Amino acid sequence: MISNQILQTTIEGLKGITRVDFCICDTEAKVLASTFPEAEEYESSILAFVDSPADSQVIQGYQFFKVFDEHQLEYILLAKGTSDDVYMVGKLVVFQIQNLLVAYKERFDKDNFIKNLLLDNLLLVDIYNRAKKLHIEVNVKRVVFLIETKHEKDSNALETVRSLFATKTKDFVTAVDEKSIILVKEVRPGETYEDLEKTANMVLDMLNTEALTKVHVAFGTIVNEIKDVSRSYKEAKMALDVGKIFYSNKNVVAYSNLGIGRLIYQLPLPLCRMFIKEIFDGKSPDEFDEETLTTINKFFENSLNVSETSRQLYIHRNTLVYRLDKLQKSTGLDLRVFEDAITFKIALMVVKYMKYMESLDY
Amino acid sequence: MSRVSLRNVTKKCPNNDMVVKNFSLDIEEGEFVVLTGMAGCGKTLVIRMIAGLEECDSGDICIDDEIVNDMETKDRGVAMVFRNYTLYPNMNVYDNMAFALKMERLPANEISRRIRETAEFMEMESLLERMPSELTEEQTIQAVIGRAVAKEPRVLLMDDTLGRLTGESKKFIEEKMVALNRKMGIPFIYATQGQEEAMDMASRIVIMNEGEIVQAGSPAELYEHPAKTFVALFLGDPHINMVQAEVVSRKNGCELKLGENTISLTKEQKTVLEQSGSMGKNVFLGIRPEDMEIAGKKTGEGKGLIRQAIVESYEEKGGRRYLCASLDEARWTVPAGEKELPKGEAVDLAFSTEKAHIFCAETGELIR
Repeated sequence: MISNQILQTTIEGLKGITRVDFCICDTEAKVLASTFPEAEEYESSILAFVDSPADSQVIQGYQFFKVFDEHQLEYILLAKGTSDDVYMVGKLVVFQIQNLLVAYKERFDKDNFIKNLLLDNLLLVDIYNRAKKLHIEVNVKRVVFLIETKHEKDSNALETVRSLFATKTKDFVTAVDEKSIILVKEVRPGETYEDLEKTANMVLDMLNTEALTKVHVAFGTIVNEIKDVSRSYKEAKMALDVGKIFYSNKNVVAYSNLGIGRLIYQLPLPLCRMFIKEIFDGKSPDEFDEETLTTINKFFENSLNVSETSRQLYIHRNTLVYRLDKLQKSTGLDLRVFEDAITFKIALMVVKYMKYMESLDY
Repeated sequence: MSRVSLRNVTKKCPNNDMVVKNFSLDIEEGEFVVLTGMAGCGKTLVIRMIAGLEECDSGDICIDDEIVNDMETKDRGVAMVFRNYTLYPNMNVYDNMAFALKMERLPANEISRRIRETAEFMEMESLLERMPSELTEEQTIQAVIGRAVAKEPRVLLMDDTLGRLTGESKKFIEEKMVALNRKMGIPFIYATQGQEEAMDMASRIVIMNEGEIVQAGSPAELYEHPAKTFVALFLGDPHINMVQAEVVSRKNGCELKLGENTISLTKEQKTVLEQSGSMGKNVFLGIRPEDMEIAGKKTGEGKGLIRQAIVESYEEKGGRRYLCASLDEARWTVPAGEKELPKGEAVDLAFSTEKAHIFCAETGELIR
């Protein structure tokens, strides 16, 4: 559970104080951390020591110790030297590592708890009991940020987010799948959604510049109680999805700010198909050429203003009118009329949504 | 030494005006290029495409003559500092700078060498042991930039990095950045909406509008010879005085007519206007506020005169006081005289005609 790096740092630190060399191996004599190079040479002695009933032993100029975790043999420690002083130091190191195991287990427990909380795997009563045991406050405002990385298992990204937040004991960084990192963050009194947006942008910029990776960040709404944290997580997840479908150029998406996308995302697919059939009569808007689609998008962007759109597309006004007429002929919708325009706009969004959902089926 | 070039780079974002069109730019080693323009002009997108955080739809992005279009960000040898920077709160500056290097699995002695060298280079050795909470905003940004520099990048990319600073501390960091650019000799590419930052730091400014380059050149070049009204209006604080005028024909060549006022032109200006076929058409006349003055008795020949403008207000910009006056629809900003004029009083304004820029009213392009 403790990373090898922590073990290495620990024995290096202790060597710095005591000037005694150490090595930590697992029960199969694999070296996990060491302050001297030739540790592998003692493999057979270590394996013999693992099988012996002794708790400590002197072999080939080293003192061997066993490190237990709740009566289960976890590591073997080697300390260089045979003197009583080295024995005492070795005992101290064993004590230190055993305490580290306890501390890390607690942290792991917390992580486990948060994961189960996010995935709705806990009974309501368990949530409160376990939170109390783990010293997690229940009645503080929290929000969940979901950070999706371009590559799976991006350990640099995880490490960056951890270093930004997890050192504060009130925030939790975890993951329930390989593509995303979850940050459960305590919301300070007076913090607004604007501040959360800033935090999200900070995470984005830091991951871009430090972990050198492309990411999307989404966040849910602020919840008041620990039992609602999973809701905030689900919202963040939905925001990430909706953002991907409808606002692909945005790297930060807030659940509280999803616009029409929010509504369309909730529609059942058969209903969408019926709607598209009704509007386009079985034809898919994909069949429109790129020129037509650019025209439509620019026309919407410019609030259905013909002269502004034609100026921006560098075409004559009449060319634009001709294109709009052609579209009206094929779809029966006249984009210059507000009502038809909104139907068309929604239809385009529904198509985007359907495409996304269908792409998930594979 | 490294260089960056973009060749016909295009980026489309459906349903959004954030688009980069056919963008070509060569950035030489040691250049400090500032991309600037209004919000949404595509400058951030260009930076992100060079970084590999956005893909381009067509065209090539090259670093050191190598096409990097399909290369991951981490392999491009770029370092970045964006607007929403921060330091890892529980690490001192040294560890902050070491963090990304450790993630790259560099050996400890190499990390230490890089950080010591960077700190010496940026004169920030005294900050290394401090925690982020003990730093001022100025020191924080130095640490953040140091963190990027320690990566020993081929290119340094920045997006509105100094956006959170103001006043003196901004000037201080700007000077540091220029010095750092000279020392490092790698291209610095900086995107900002602030024309002041661009004027202060850039060795070359690239002004963008709607995803295209409007004009690129040294700050002085763009300021003194703007190719379009857009550039003239964008650079300079207070803004350039820009008024519409009509080119009218007279016996001895053409003149500009501004309401009741007529402005006689230099011989060269007359020739250019006549040759460009502007006779009888509307043009924009642009005059920088510092090229104007309040007309007195001594104001002599060869000066353009704007008579009977009405004093509106005074304003302070960059340590100088300016008088704002209006005439018809036009608004004029001129350096304030010693005497304070009451609001509503009529005042005559003068400028040297050869300093005036004349633009075509239809296309906004410079005529002379």
